[in-house]
Amino acid sequence: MTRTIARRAFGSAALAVSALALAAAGFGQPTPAAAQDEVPVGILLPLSGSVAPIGINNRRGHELAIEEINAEGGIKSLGGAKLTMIDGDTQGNPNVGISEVEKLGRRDVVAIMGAYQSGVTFPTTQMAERLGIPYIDPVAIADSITEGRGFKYTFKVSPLASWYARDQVRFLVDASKAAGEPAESVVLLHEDTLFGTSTAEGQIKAAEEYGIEVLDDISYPKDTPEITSTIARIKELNPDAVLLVSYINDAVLITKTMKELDVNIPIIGTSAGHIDPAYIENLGADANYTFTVGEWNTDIDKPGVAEIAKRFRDKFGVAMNGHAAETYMSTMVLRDALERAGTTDRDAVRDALAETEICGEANILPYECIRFGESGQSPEAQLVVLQIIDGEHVTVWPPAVAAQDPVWPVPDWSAR
Amino acid sequence: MSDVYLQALLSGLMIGGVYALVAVGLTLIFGVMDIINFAHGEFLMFGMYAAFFASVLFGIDPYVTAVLALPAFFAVGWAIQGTLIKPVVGKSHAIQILLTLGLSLLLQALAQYLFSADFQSLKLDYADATLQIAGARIGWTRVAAFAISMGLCLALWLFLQRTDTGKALRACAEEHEGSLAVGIDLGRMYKIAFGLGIACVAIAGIAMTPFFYVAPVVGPKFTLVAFVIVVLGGLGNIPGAVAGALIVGVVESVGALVMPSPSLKDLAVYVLFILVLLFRPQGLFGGKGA
Repeated sequence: MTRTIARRAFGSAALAVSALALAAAGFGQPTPAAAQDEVPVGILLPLSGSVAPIGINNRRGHELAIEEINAEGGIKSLGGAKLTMIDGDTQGNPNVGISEVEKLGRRDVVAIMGAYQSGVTFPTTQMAERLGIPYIDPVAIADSITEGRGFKYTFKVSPLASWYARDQVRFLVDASKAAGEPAESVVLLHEDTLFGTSTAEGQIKAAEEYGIEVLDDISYPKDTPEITSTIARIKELNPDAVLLVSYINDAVLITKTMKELDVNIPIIGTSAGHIDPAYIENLGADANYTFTVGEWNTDIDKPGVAEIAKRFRDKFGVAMNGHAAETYMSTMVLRDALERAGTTDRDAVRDALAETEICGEANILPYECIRFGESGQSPEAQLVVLQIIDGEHVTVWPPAVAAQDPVWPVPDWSAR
Repeated sequence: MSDVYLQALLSGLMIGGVYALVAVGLTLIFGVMDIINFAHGEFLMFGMYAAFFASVLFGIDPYVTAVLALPAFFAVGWAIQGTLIKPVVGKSHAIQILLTLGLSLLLQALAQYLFSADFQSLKLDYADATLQIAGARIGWTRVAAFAISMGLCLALWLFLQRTDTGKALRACAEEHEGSLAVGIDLGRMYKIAFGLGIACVAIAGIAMTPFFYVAPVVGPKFTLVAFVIVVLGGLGNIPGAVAGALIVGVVESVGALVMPSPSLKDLAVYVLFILVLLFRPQGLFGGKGA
């Protein structure tokens, strides 16, 4: 083993030394491959099962980034080594995910990226931590993945789940202030499964923090056939905005019912149903002026975003979404760390990742710099707010990356 | 505040009307054949898709589709009874439940295959028109759904009371062997009952399409509600099912206001359901054949 590594690695003394050091230390794990022609990267995603369509779309961001990196001459500090994707299919199942991490570890991947679902990312980061494999989480949002665990090998590019609520409320404050009538109150309306209730808890905290009164916190049964009386109650409470957490069918029904009852209160959705293109398809012009928080949008006012979005569409025939932007950027984060590390040694790559600082034009996500804090979370990560204008999601917040100003207050139904 | 309750009451009545037509179909099938059709909601879903595609592809208004659907879905029900259901009539309930539950899953999967799992909605010009009563607002399409449902329930009831076929159906519901003895063609009555039941639920779906969304998974929610209503009203009792449906609609709607959280509105309905089972197991309005 040592001889092979040393022979192949003669171009890089540092690499040889670190590899020898590793081997000499007698770690019970396979040493990362030092072959300079190829650097295997583990992609851990649900590629089969019910969430496979989302996993496959996430994979596209990695694929596009790796293709670009290799076309530009690979990892230069490793003598132009090319990145290769090694797929680990979680099937959306935490147990399968854990064994896939072990398999990827044996296949000498330099790092793992994944795993889309928070429920899979949480246990798989634990396994990666134990095996000492750097793990970049591009998409999964649960706070528990990084917070309070003290992990050294987990790096999270996506925002924390609790920041969705924070950014909804920040947007409400900013937009209403800009319109000259600062918002004072909201009503929360959310579906009654974990997604809805946990987000609502965050919304209550965020509202408190920004001095917004929560007039009522209403949960409704998912897939309800009728929600009129609840909407009537909201109409009577007359808040400055409704913060919604809904899947697509409920989102459509609620908007229709609000129109029927002539409720002219701005809707601020929480991604999910409100960011789904089906929301616009189902409601047509009635979808206009709805707000939602989102991870990213192709019209974000940052250099390079439009070109990358175009390359993505040309290659895959579908529009680039927030998940793909996050997986694309996470791959670039890994590239940057490999360049600085100058080795495929996992510990060195981990140390390089901890020093990450990708700012300005190099970062297509809607904030200035990607860095990693103590917990491994990217502290500046934030959401954008999109508004549907003329049947398109348009970025309207934060102002630094907005494509245009929000339409606030929203026009009355009768005036639309 | 009274406006909110008025709104809740009216909205509850409107959706209750639709529930009535769904439940009447279920209770008719049960009354005549002693079979609980767990695939009932799936025919509602196919009714919705019929209205959706008739409108999107051929520009046929959903209310026209509702008229065309009566013979079409009657024929579907007739055919399904003649092929799938017939062998299990009079067999153990377990077999019947497995059959209709399997049919429900099959139809859902078929819809997903044929129409995709996407949620879709019709966009009609007149869907925005609303009726204002004091402080409450009701979309005219909901009023229309209520009127169609109530009208059909009444028509069905008159059919059962006044016509020979209707009387024969009621005879089957009361006494299978006795009906056979007086020369009623049971097989034919079963087909008519299943055909009528399916036509009712499909038309309920069509009447909802102007204000609701369409998806392969909408059915089970309605099957469950209809089941509760049928038990409330008394198994096989048609006026009971209508009354039960209006009660459930209003309890759901007003319950969403008075319960601590709207997600508990179903709780109000099921508490009522359990109370009825405990203290009046024959249903609020008496049993079969009434």
